Amino acid sequence: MEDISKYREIISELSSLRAVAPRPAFRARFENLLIPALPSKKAGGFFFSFAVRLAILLIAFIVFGTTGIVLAAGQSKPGSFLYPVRQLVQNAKLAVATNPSTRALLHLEKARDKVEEMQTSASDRKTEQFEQKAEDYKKDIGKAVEEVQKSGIQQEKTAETVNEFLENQTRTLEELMTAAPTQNQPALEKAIDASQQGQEKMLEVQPENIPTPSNQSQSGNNEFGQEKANEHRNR
Amino acid sequence: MYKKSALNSITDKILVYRAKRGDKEAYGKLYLKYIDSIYRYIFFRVNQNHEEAEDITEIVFFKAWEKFATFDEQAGGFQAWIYAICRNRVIDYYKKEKKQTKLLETHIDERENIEEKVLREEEFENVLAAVRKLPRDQGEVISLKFIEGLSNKEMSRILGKKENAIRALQFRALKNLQMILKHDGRHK
Repeated sequence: MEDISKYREIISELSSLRAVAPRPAFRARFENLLIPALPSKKAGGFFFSFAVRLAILLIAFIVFGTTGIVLAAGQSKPGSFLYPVRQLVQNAKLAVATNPSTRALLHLEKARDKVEEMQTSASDRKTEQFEQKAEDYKKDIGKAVEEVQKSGIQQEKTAETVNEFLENQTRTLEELMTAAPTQNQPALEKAIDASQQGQEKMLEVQPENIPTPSNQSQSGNNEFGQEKANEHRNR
Repeated sequence: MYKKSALNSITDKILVYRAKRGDKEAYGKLYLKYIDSIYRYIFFRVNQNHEEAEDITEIVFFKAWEKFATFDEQAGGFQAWIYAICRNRVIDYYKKEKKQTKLLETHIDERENIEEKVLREEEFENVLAAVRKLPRDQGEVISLKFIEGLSNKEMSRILGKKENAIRALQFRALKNLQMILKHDGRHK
């Protein structure tokens, strides 16, 4: 067996090459930008989440027959026969979605449905049910806002989408106020309030210098802004 | 020479456990632990260019994050696994383009005087140039063993070779390196 000691000098010189290191700017950028930008993963083993997804899909298939029904339900409106299927599919999607931005958008879909339900039943005298729909709308907005706050590097973009959505829904609800019976108006006011609070929270998330429908400040990103992260990833 | 302690190994296991469950902070810690050695490995394998080494390092860690769910700790530790990803990315790099290696911009202690600085730079670059001239497998062993300080056992896991083979390779590499440096007038 060869004796390594005769190479001692070379080995010592080789160890000096350990001085080679990533540049501090790269290290900092990676730590501050790119690690947070890693797509989120749901806690729990791969197999478990796959099994849950499969179970939900199978249940939906068995209960509602062909996937054609599930697809058709996606277009259904409140009051239609397939509307409950749509709701089930929405809940199934939420159960398996792991990305906070996706979850936020799914909550918005549910919230929009609630507004449509309120539009359909605005002239009804069933105040309790109407109040429940407004309450559900408020909950869905709240959940969408929470998901935006968790969505890390996608936060600003998602917040912009949510903000736009809430603006539209606020307008719809305000129009509904003019037509709804008096007993339904407090519920509508709560829903409008929830929309506006949601909008305020979304504006807090967006930096002042990014243009939004309600804030026309100039855009710009510093060295550690989203644009730089995307540019670097796409190189 | 750096040796991986049992505590170090346990730390890796804990971080891996948390990272597998989607904990980006745990993954960040793993990254910080291995970034220097991964970067160096890549740096010496490609063209000793900082930008290229940074790009590939980034790809390695992103790939590792993507594949984390399938990482099997029983088959080998995180270190071996990430080095394997690293080697594959370097192989991809070789396939895409052949680049001339460039001399390193050296980092020298500013407190040294100019003459020492120049001498040290020269020695550093001589060794770098000599390592560059080694066949790939020998250069790899030199890098992992004598620069990163990995054990033969760890290298065996990373390279997929038996420890005896690695020992033989490292002696061949050192002998070769010595000859190159002699030939270049560095050693007598």
